[in-house]
Amino acid sequence: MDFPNNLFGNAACSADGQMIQNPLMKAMENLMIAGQMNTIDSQFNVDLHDHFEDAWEDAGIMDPHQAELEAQWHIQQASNYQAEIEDQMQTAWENKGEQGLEEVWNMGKEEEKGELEKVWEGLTAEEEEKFETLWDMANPEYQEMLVRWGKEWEKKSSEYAFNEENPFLEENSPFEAALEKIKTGLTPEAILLLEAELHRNPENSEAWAMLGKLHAENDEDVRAIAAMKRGIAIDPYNLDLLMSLGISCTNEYEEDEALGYLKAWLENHPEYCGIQLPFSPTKDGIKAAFSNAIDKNPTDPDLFQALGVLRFLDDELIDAEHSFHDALLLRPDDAALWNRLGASIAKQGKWEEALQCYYKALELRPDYVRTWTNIGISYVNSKDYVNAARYYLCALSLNPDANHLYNFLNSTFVCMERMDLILKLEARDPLAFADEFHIITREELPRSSEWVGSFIN
Amino acid sequence: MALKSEKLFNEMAPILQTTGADLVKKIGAIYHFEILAAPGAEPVVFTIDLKNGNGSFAKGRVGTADATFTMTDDDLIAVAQGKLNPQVAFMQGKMKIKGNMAKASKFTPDILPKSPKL
Repeated sequence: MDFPNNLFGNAACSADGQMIQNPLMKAMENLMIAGQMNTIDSQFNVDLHDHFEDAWEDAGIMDPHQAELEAQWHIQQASNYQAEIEDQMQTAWENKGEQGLEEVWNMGKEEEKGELEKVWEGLTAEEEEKFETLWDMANPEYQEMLVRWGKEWEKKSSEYAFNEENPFLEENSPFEAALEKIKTGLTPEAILLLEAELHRNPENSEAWAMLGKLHAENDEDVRAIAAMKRGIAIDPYNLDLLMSLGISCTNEYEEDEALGYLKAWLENHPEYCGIQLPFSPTKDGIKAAFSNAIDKNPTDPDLFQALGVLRFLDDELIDAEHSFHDALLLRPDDAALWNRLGASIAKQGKWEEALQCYYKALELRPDYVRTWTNIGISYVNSKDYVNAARYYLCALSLNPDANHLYNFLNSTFVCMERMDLILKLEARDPLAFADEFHIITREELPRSSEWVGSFIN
Repeated sequence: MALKSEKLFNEMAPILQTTGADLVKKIGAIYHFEILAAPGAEPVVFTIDLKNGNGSFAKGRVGTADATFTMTDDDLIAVAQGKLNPQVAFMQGKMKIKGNMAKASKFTPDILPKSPKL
């Protein structure tokens, strides 16, 4: 079969390495975007047809081939039907006004959807196969490029990425200044100061540990892990780092790594290193070892916390809940423990019950972005989209770098059927939504001298 | 070791209890997810039924899917966690789609569970 050569030409890179969009891929992208919008605004039904039609044209699939002609015919039919609906709408509007319009539109929607699906289902097996072959053939050049880019990207994303702009680079004692900022609840400055310190003294493992913890509390586990791994490379037996890494890896579904770090915590702890662990213990083996340690010392909240994390990792959520609860009995002012208790409860499906724990965490540490996000998640899962959006926006107001929250907001606004809010996201300004959602800013938070629990124990 | 995606999908049950009916109404499709532990590996298939009842998840290729998504384990997690936009994933060839495109185009990250973090 003879495929248009321009598909491959278009798969090439431009001089500066930018990927030129393959028209077929662009069409599919449009189809997906339109499809998503389809679910919230029937106006886009119209565009869906247009996109698809343009797509086939752009892809140069205009060979006088029977199968292609038939596909075109299907599209044309759908378009014609669309035109007919529009005519009917015009008449209905003239005769019955808005009500008439809605009637016709709703009638049209169902049949219209059917037409579009017919287009797809109407494709014969041969056409489908050709589409897929086209797809695969268009891909190899991309695949190569992506593999190349992928390797570079992976290298990049697991390394710690410093902020490009940092006003504190000339600061005299950035590490001490960072500690002060942490005490006064100024996390963004603390992060920059720690980075300034690390530019000068990249061997300061304590700074790496703090930086990692700040990122984790800011709901950025990937960045946290990158920082903490730098720390552990310098100071492999740092218990704080090992515990933090165990927790962040758990959040990132890196089960083996999480287990490794928690096991190492126990093995390197001066008080518990005597506890027997087989060389390659199972999850249950590690849990048992922690239980043994608890028997030895039932007053160490970190043991309960670690056991809680292990149980959470294993989806033993009720048991995890008990462990974090026990830890809190020993250390009631630890915001992180309250957040963890809340997460264990929430993940069982008890979205609202968890809120009590989350609020307690925020009472102790009002700028705990992780918890703000967790609250948003509880609301999303309870279908309270307005509150979910509000809490995501608060989280973003406190940590503007938490980019994943923009995608969460997008989903939430789709559920709310608010196209206007989705479009507003482009500006990446959480405060732009303040007219509709009550968003908290860092300045509005209670002064940090009132915070009971600082993470610096 | 189980795929990360398997852990992710296992989180669906409590979420479908509240949001499943709405998702079924909105999506009305059965999806197969072919997840690769790494590029080129043998895929593990998961079935997400958002056509019947309150929706459900099963491991394995159950029934006929309206659309099948193929991607790596890491990329699916990234989409679920909001770190990778599905349109971008698609554009970059990280997510391949087979089957009824109209049904496939209804995929949103909403379908994937969002769980709280420790």
